[in-house]
Amino acid sequence: MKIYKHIIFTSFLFFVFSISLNAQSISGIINDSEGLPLPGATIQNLNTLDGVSTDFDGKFNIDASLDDVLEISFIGFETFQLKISNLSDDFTIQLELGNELDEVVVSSFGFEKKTKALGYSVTQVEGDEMSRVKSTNPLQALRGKVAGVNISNNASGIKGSTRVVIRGSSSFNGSNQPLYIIDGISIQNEQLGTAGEWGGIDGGDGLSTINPDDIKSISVLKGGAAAALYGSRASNGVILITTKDGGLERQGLGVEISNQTIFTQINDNFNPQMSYGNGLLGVASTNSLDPFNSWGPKLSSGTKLYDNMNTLYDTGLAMTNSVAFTSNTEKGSTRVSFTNLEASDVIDTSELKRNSLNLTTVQNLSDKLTVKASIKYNETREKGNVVMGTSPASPNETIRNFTPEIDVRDYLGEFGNGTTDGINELLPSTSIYSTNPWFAKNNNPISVYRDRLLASTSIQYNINEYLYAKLQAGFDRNTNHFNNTTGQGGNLNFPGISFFPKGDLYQQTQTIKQHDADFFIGTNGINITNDFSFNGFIGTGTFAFESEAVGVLGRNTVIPGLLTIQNTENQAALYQYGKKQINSTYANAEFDYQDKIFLTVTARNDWFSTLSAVGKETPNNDLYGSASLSVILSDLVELPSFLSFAKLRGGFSQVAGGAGNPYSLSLTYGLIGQGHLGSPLGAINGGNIPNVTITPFQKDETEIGLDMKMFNNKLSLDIAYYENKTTGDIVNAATSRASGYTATTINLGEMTNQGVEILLRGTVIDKEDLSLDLSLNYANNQSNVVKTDENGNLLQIAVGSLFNSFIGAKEGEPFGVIYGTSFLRDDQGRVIHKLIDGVPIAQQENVSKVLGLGVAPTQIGFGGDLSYKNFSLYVFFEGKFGGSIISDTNSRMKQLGRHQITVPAGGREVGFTPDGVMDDGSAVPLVAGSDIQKYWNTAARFDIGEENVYTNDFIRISQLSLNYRFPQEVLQGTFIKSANVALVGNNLGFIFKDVPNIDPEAFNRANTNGQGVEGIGMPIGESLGLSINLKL
Amino acid sequence: MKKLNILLLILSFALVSCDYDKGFEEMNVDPTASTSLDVNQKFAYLFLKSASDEYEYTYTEVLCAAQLVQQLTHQTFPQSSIFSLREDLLTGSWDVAYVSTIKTVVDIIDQLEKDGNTGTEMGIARIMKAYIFHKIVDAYGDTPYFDAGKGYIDSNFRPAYDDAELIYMDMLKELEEGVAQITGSSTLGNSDIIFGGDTTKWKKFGNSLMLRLAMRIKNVDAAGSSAWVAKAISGGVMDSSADTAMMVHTNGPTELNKNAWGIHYVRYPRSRLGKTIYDWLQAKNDPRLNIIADPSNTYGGNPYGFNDEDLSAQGINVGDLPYTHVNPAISRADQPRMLLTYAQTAFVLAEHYAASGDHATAETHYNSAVTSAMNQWALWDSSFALSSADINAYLAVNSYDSANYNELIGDQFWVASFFDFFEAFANFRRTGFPALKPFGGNPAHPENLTNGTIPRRMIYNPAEANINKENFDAVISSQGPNTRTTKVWWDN
Repeated sequence: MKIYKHIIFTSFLFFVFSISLNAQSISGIINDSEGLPLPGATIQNLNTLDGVSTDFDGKFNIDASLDDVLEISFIGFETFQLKISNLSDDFTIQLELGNELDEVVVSSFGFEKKTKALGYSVTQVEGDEMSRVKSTNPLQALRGKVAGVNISNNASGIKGSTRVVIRGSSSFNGSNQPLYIIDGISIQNEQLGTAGEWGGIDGGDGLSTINPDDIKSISVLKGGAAAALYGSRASNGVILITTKDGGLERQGLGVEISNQTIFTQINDNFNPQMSYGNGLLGVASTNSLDPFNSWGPKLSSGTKLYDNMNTLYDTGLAMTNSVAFTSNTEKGSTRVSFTNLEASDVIDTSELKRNSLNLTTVQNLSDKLTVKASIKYNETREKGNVVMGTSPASPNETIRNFTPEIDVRDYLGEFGNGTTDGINELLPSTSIYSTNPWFAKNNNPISVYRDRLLASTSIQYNINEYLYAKLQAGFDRNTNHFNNTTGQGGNLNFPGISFFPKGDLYQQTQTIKQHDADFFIGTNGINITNDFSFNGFIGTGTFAFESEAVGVLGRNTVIPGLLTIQNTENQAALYQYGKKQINSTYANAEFDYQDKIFLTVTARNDWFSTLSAVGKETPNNDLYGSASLSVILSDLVELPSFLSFAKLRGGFSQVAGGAGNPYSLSLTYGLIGQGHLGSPLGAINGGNIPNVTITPFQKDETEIGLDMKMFNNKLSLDIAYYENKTTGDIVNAATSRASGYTATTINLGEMTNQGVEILLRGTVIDKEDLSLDLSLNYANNQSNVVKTDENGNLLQIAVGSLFNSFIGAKEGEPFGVIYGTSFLRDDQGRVIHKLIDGVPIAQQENVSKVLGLGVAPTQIGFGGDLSYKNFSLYVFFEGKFGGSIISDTNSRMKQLGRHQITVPAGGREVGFTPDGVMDDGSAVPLVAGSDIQKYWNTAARFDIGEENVYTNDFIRISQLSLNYRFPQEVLQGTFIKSANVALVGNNLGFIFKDVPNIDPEAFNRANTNGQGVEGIGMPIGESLGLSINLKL
Repeated sequence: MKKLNILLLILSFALVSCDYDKGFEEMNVDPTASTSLDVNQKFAYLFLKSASDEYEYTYTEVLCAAQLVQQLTHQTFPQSSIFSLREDLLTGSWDVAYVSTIKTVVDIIDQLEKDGNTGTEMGIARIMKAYIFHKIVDAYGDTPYFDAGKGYIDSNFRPAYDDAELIYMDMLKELEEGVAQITGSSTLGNSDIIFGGDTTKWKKFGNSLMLRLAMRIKNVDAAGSSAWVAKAISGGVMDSSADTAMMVHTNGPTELNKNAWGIHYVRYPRSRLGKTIYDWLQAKNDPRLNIIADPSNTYGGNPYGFNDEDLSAQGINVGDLPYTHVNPAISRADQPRMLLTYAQTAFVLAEHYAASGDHATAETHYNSAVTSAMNQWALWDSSFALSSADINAYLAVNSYDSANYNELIGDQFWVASFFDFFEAFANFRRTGFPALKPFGGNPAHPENLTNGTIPRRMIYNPAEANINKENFDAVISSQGPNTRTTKVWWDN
């Protein structure tokens, strides 16, 4: 926790720069039609092209000469032009509410488009929103904010990856993750490892290294029509991230400093029984090496009880300091920012450090030539990544199992780290699989070093009044260096661990590079007639991806405690390489009729290297298109007066996707191991039967929407309905192992999604000192698996939990069902019990069935923003409904007598009557005393999945911030332009939740299609902290 | 505007006429893999993988077969001691063989056929194919055979299950033809990591396997059995310990090189010697007790028919699990694995001659077999070499007995097949010896699913019921339910 020491330092280590302004400045105030000041309005001197914006009191200063023209604009208001006739005046300008809303959003290829012209759904979230409550992964801030975008995260702590699914999954085996574009360049967001049922670590994802402070806005292109121009890689939607440049906010130099310090504690989800102690069948244990069975006698009232969870888990701390310099000149703007993040997890040996440097500049080199360049570098250092799942290397599993009267500190050992001698595990029980949590916490040798360089540039040349040419190119280069251990079935063999004391070491350096280059020629708006205008572009692009990994695996460390690969009995080298490329050509045409009807048509053809092979007869390319229409009803027909704006939109699109991995079209051979007795060993690579006929899958989407603003824009409503259908999905159809292979790929899968998205925003109070804005979004997505493979077989999409369960795709069911074994039930649905050893035991049905849906189909987000004078309070609630979760934690607690359900209302002595019926039709007898253990040992055992499947509805208090903005009067005369202090919080509890003992989203494999599986990960934390922002 | 239109036209033409997939076919060729492979490297992999696969050996041979024949126990996985069910253990051999050894041997035969090879190498491949399949058929009964491993070659994703009898007949035919194809030396060179290029030994191996298979079908096809036994003997079976087929293992560099038992021994420290074999060796004063059992703990064998809870209830500290371990001196990763031994061959010959009334020849083979089985342990560690005097003294007490040859040979075969648990299990099922009692003679365990009887087979991967439904349903209706009590064809 040495990070503590840094807080005081860095928080106040604000170095000060002053800014110089030219003389001849004029000042003024911009008000709305009711005379209230408008902060953030833009004032541009059309002569010098300088621009400023108003401060919080609507005031501005700008340099101007006589006869210059100032243009004042603000979203939602008519633009106003003012000719300067007197330099000494203080101007007060009242803007009129606009009839049209000229909001713009960033859309495909970074073009700003008028919202009203869009025939499809794009949601833009501004950077302020993103950095309000910072998280180590920037997408966390989007949770619940965008209807139709389902974001979940792993139970893997601060380094975890985030899963984003837009409008449902469209492919059985694809990642179903959107395409991420940062400043025009696609970035890699590969999942770098996930935990299996027997353990593993979350390797993080590409996006987790992007710094939230550098984000200017995020646009989510939800539908196919929005994403179609990006082609096959955008079949799951696009998330466009624009990073901050200098902006036009203010001339000269600006400095922005911020600090955010967040403390995280585990939440109070874990509620075990605390009344029965260590032992079996009601008898106290005499075996000191069995601390995990809470089937002993009732604890006497004076017994000291321990909250072992809070003993083991620490207070996590994440501190972000950032400083940004901006410079604006007549020719352009530049922004440089540096951000440092230091964080420790609720397992404080798990650390994360990140330094990010970001340089963005936009320069108008001549009237015709504009260049934008951006370089982002960051280095991330991770240590002690916590192992999830049922693994001897996980601290999370056994800590939940200690009986109530056992103090887990008894297992610290004399060295204080869970070892007998400083190196070897002090085993708490006789089972080598049951790890001492202190050992797993303190002897974790895992570390990951990541270096990432993202560079992008765009050069635009205006050929003439109508035509421009633009080149956009860049790359994303990641180097990840893993120091890891490996082991059987994902069990990570930490040296010293009882499971495998010598341990293994694994070191790997992986470089992932991807390049994008696009060249296009477009028009700057051509008026064909007075009513009819055209805009468009035609382009060509290429995307290349290359990854290379070099690793060394060392088996069996020799000198105890020395964690280097040379210190192993033997080593094996590993090398992996892959390269793929997509070349494309595309065109976009937009027609505008009287600024009232807009039609956009796109076409794109992609060629895939991954689908190319000598002699391949099926195509290696695909052509697809989209069309979308936007009709401004409020401009075309007479609408009731309360409706200030109404727009109807609709679109249709086709995309292709799933071109997949390179080298998968032909059978190859490779050498295995390092030979035997001097002879090389060779075999067929992989267990998949290659299929040379594979083509991309097709995804068609239709979308309609209605966008309305009412009561002078105080209330707005946006509704969208969509249907999409994937055909010819590339399915990894399981083959009988007797074929020699486990799967083959075929273009057979079919899946549909349909859904509704509603966004309602309202300004409830709008007074001078007091305002209240509320927003509510709702989304429901219904997916349906139409076809899995030629025989309609159930497909396993992801491994499940320890029970006989997995996440599957079954025809006629939604995608991603939890599939597993169930209770045997009679016609009336009652669970059938059978007397075994005199105890009624619930019986298992041998046939597996659908037990629930791993992905919640319905989600809501509700936010409130209350401002009073300089204070503002923001609260956001997120809810998900209709999903289920299969929980290893609850199963384990039931088996070990730790679950509250194992203690009936009157105590175990009184007993309980299980729901159900006996096999002969009679009533189920009472289960009491030691029989309760026998009952739960069987009912919660691994072969009945149903017992541990819970409905998983919840509403979470997901974000909170209480912000104080220092008044201008206080700051006047200082170098500080604005100052904000905020109390911020993340994940602060639940309004309600269904599943006991765990967070409803404590998923183990959230970064895969394997949703809805809880496999004993890190407890999810509640965070609270302080945020300071200064602008100089 | 006109200029603009022309420019756009030119540009559009340029874009459309580009060669957008130039170089893609070359790019999509994996630079780290080859589309072909020298057959010798495939052979070497086949030999090693046939001898030792950690998963297969741990799951199915040790945790199932070794408990069923009451040689080892593992209290964490007591299902084959109390006859309850844990599917993944029982399916292990089936799951592994098809996607490794069977796939490889089918690929080798395909390559040899394409090369027009009808000689020694093809002969060796066919013998290996029979060797790999006989273990699968013996464990599971009817199983995909004729169409197996051809997912790529024939795009057969869901092969039919073939009748065990047809498979047996075909394996015998393959052995006969395969042995006949072996002439002179092979081109395997140092890839022949079983016999080091000695093709005579390959012939003996093929004939000895033929003898094993022929004897296996004795109870269901007496005439066929005799005919094939005669063929095997006249072809020439193994006749000394030097003919034994085995794999020499090394301690790394990878797990693949290691003896699977050596890996298991480190990783699964709750393995113990079974009470049945411990008591048998002790009662006979068998010098092999000191070889097989860990001399440092003389608790005795772990009893059968109990799980941890039962043992706890008896006052046993299941943490320490005070039963004798297998001797660590025979549990190293660099020790050999027997594929088919001379001792096993000689015992089967002894049985054959005894049954035909030629007890003199039977006795000769019996004595050779016991001697070879005793000497065999010197291959693990030279310190285990027994003196002729010791062996003769043992044989004097455990001498051939024409009145009780079945039990005598069956018991000795069982001990001689320690570590070759599948073979011990097959021979026990056919001969009924050793006369193992369910649960080691202890009361039937309440969780047993076999009506208290010793299971007779492993089970197919239940996933087949989904993935290969039609064929799976067909085999269930012809062979019987996919349970441990359904018997394989020759087990009657």
